[in-house]
Amino acid sequence: MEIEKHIGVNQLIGIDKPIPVSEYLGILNEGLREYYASIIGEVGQVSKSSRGHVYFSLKDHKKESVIYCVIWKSNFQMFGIDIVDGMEIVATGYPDIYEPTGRLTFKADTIELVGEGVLKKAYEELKLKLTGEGIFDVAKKRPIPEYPHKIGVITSIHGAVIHDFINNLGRYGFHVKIMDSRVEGQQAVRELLLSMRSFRKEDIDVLVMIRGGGSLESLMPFNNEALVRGVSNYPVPVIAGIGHHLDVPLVSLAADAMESTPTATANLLNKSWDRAEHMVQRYQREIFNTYSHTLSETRFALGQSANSIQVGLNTLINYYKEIEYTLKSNISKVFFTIQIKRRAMGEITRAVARHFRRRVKGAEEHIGRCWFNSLEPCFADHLLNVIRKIDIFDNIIRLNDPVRQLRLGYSITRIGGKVVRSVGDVEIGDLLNIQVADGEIESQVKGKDKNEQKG
Amino acid sequence: MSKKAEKKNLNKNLKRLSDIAEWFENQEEIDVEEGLDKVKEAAELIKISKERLKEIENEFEEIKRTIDQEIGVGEEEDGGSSALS
Repeated sequence: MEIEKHIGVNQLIGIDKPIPVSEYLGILNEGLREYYASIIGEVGQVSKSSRGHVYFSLKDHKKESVIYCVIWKSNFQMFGIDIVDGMEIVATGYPDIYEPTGRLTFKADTIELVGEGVLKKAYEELKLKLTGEGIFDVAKKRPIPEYPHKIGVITSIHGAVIHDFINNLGRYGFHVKIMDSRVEGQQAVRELLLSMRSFRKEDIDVLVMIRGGGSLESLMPFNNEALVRGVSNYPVPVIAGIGHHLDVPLVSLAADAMESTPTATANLLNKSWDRAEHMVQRYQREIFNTYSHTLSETRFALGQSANSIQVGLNTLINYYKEIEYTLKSNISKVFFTIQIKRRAMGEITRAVARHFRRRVKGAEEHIGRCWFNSLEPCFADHLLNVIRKIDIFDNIIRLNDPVRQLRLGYSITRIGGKVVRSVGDVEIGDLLNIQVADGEIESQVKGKDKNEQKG
Repeated sequence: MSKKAEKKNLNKNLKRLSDIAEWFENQEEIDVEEGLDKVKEAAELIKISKERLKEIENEFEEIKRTIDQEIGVGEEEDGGSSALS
């Protein structure tokens, strides 16, 4: 491999033609990048430059081997490990020759602590520090938005975790944006941080970070200070779904909600939707049942009212019937009374009449008595005289009665209803009516003969 | 209707349904006419809400991360090992 490299370089630059040092170092550094590796050793000679870059040496325990290392400020801060002399660490990076000094330096991208005890100590120290700053305060946590729709997910797309998450998401039309990221080893910190930064540009309702469980060492990226701080002040709420045993990852503590499995994380996102479904059912039941009950009650009340009205109406009708009856019976009584009164009146009238008649009769008798007693002596003769005269007149009238004359044989001759008194009243041929005592005779004038005047 | 509006409405609808349910619960004597109006409104809200809550397939999209160089860019010029020399 190395021989091939030499051949390559020789071919590239040519051994016959010398090249400047800087050019040569440039070629070397380019080649050295190929030797990217993780190296383990004990830290020594730690110093920080004014710009914040950290220089240190890594020494092998068994052999007297040493390599000088540098980690740029940005990376150093990202890992948040305070390196001190004597500490054992793993640095990952590549070698590079610093041209001004010609010295080989290992440029570390990542540094991480080694050993359970050291990790645990670092974890506890950071936890204490961040707790002091209030990063894990419950009051600081934001609620997971109701009905989240756009979900940002940072996880490794390789493995069961993402599948568990997807399979357990309810079918509520979620729009899930997934960013593949390493979740183990110190390289994961960089990718996780970059993923979080990238999601800041995406329109999401909530950010989800998920991974399966593991040892404290494998979960160390989630105990990274920069990541924890990033989560604590992320623009949208963050759900950490990171499996763990004893020590809860600090990212989980800083997140707005934490779960320890991808299934539980998916269920948390489903929660408000599930509840909405449940609530709709419940409201439907409550509202309709209550109203049905009200309707039944109203119907019953209506029935009752109808009965009451019927009863009231009947009472009223009966009352009027009673009045009618009373009225009729009173009218009858009145009529009866009137009749009685009328009868009584009649009797009274009659009695009065009788009385008056009696009184009149009495008065007549009295007058008569008075008459005879007082007036008779004066008038009796005169009265007899009158009666006699009346008798005379009566005789005269009777003697001169035409009917008597007719019975004696006299008759009355009429023409046109007029009594014939003279021959001159009739003409020959005139029809005459002759009245006799027992009837009338029709006759015709055949001749007339006037008596001679003698005298 | 946009999904955002839909979501907003779901929340609003549930709130309104909750108000209506509460109204029925708190009423000592329910006015039949007023109750009917509320039931009609509730029925409409339930219909709309159920429509939104029926099964809708989720969408999945893989998003690419911004390139690594964003972290630490412009800070390597000082990369000398002077402190160690």
